[in-house]
Amino acid sequence: MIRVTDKLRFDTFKQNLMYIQKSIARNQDMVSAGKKILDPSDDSVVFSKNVEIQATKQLDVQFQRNLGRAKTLNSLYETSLTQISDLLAKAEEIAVSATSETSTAETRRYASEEIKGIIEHLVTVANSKLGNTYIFSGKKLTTTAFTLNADYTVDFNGSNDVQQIYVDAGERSDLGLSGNGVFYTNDAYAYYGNSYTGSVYSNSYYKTDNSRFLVNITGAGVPGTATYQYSTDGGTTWNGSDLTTATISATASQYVIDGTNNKIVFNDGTSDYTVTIGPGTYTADGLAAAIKAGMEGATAAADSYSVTYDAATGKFAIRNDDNAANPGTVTLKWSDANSTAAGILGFDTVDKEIGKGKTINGDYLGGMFIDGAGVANSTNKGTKMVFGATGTLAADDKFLDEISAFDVLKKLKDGLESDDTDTISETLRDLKIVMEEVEKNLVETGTFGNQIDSLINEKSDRATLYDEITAEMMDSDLGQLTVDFNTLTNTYQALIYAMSKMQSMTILNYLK
Amino acid sequence: MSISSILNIAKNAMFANQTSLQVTSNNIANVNTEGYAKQEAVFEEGVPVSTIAGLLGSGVKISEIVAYYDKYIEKMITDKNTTLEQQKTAEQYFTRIESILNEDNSNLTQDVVDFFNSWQELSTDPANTSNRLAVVVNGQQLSSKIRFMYSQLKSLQTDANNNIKQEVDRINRITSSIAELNQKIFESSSGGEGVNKYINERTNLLKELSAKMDIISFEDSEGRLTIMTSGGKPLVDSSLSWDLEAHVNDDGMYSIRWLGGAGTTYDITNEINGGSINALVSIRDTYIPEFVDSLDGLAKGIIEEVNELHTTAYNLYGQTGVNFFNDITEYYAKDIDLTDDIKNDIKMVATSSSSTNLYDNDIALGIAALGDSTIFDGGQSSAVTYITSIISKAGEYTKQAEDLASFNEDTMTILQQERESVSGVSLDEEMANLIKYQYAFQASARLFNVADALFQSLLDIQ
Repeated sequence: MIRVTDKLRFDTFKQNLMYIQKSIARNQDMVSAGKKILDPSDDSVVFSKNVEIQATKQLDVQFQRNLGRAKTLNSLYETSLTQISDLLAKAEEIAVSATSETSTAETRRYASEEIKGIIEHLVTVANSKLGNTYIFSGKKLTTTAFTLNADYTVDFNGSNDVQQIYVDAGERSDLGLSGNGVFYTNDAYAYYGNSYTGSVYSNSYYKTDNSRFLVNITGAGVPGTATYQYSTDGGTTWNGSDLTTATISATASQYVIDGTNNKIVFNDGTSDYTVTIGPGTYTADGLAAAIKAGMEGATAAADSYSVTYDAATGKFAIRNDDNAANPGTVTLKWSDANSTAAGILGFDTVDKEIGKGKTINGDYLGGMFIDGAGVANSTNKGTKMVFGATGTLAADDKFLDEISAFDVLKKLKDGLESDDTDTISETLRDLKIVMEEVEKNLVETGTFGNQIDSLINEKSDRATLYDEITAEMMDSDLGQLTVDFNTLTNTYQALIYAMSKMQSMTILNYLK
Repeated sequence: MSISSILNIAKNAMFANQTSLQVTSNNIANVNTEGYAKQEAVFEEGVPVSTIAGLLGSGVKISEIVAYYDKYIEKMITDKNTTLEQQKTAEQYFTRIESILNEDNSNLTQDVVDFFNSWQELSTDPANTSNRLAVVVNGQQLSSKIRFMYSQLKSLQTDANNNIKQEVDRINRITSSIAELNQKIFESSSGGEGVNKYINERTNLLKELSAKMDIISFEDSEGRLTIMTSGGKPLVDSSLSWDLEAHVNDDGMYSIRWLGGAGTTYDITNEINGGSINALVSIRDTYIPEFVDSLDGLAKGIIEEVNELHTTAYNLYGQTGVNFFNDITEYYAKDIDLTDDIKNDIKMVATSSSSTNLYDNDIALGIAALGDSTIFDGGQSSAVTYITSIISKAGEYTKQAEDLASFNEDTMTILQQERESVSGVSLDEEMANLIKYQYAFQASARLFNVADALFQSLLDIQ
């Protein structure tokens, strides 16, 4: 039988008292903090998880700020593009009016002053700023996007590519538009006064700066035989040697294949193969046939492929024939460093898959590059200029590899000043092209604005979800805590009462 | 048999009961004395005298004063105390480590995220001066926070180290006192209240010593206690004691040496496997360095990865090769800081890899991306998961120490209760004894009256 001594009684009472006091203190801490997990030792897994979620929320707040900036910028773009669109529409009205029979040399002269005003206004809009940054300068944020020269030509000083921002973890998005993308199109631009009336095509998929190629016909002739030189500084200096013009004709011998651009790496659905095109000068049709033969010859089975050239668009097309021998989806491995033929065939250096029975078209014009090379390089920047199959190029005909709205307006101004209705009529076609480009940008801006809103809402929803999760994990149940507190205080009181009663149960109280 | 025998018996009885009253008074006085063992005077019948009528009792005497003392329970308490104090010390320090690393107090994760977020903000508008300033401010905040946490951990380590010294000093005082008590107990080997007092005192000291380190102890036939370290080094043997020394190592930390005399010393730091010293050494040498290393890893990762990108970038002066953080090769958490160039001129913050476009943001994006890249733990963890793993570890250690301390406290409580049951003083019992001995004393005193009356009767015979 255990002896219960006074020390034992008091020590037990003190221990129990301390235990309840500790429990009450803990209860109060949970009430005041509103949390049931106060320290990592309470539940290290939950505590750590909560820290991670808070960090993710904090990151999301930053993404929302990034998107907020993008939204502000986007709104500015919408406003600016609308103004640009309106100004170009006004210019179009003036051009249409100037070609009417009621217009005179004098009215055209007055109209040219209006066009000057439109150019000046456009440059102002094109140089819009948000804070310290020019919104159309691409990555060159603090560089004035456009410069208006005395002769009403306009130079673009920004960069073609734009900055990116994070919109989510590991996910970037372009922030903004480059003036190059708004005011310039990839269509070639023919100087007024040229005698050539055929079509001119161009692309520049590799270029990231604002350089433009000026082509000057040095030797007259039909496209494919006429010669040219090119300048990248607006005509101050030239490349120095005559190059043969390229034509969209499928039968002109102009595709020079050598060791730099003769390989295609592809997978036929089972294995990788490399096609090596024999060196030589090919026509478009001839090159298409050589590629077909090469692909079919490379594979072990009797695979069948169709390779064609479209003289209307200037692009190659490759088809994975719906043939029983073809194993399945073909992958053109343009990203492979050994696939050197992508450029001359007009494909991006991105792998392309062709399902059975499907066809893919080239991303860009097929053909030699503007500097006469068979591959894209730092000089030609992936730029090609190709002329139509008909017409004659005269010496000193000049062409730019891309149209700008400012070039067209300058052309219109000059035409109005010189009372040249033919030139004015030409600008109507070009105006339509640049207006379409602006309209396209306006639509994309609107779409991007919707995407931004959607992303912002998504993050808002995510924040709410995180709050729910962390509340579930961390928040204390105040109702339960109140009940617990009542229980503890009652127990505390009962303990003290019991102790006070035990005090009276001693022999000392009975001895007189 | 004579009247004087009656007087003798009465005298012995009074003396015996008076002694018992004294012992009972002592018990009552020490009812709350920690470690006190209830005592009792043992009555023994006096040696009977041979008479013609046969053996006649000669009264009572006190043969000894015994203390109600269970050596087995005391040993268990001593052993449990070693573990208990070890866990309580560990709990105390882990709680402090947890407090340092608790995100609610440190906001370290928040500062890390803020730092990388500020690079994101800068990437959205590199031409904005306030964005550049924010990167510098947040970088300084993060550096300062890491340094502060490092200094707190090191301060705790120093505290543990200093406590080791204090514990060693106290151990030496205890062992010296126990040796003295051994001698007193040996000299008072006849028993009595005095020796019990010494035994109680020695028991308390032994318990205090066991709280500091794990020991082996045993008593010889003379009642002298021998104490050794768990590695077999003597600390007390009879009236002799051996000191321990807190020796300062090259790194400023104390190691514990046993002083064997004649200049011999022996490092017993790693032989101490229990008690508060063991906990202090573990905290100081294992756990705090573990967390300091983790903090170092965080700082190192941030410094190296950010600098690697920043040095490839061009600042607004067109310069490249500029570090963002000071390029250090050790003590990363202790010394992490922004370079003076960056602190003094926000234009030195570089965001662009292009020498022709200083406002490009590709490097800023790259640095921002480090915030959730797995660049820690050999490419396994991002900064946030790395920090939460540190916090989680601190939490686990603390919880474990709390649980063990609680468990050992409960076990100790049971042992204490058992001890109290054997050795504790019950006032009710003592009051009952008091009355008992008081009556017996009164009755013995009455014997004098009777013997005196008998003498008077004899003297009155004429």
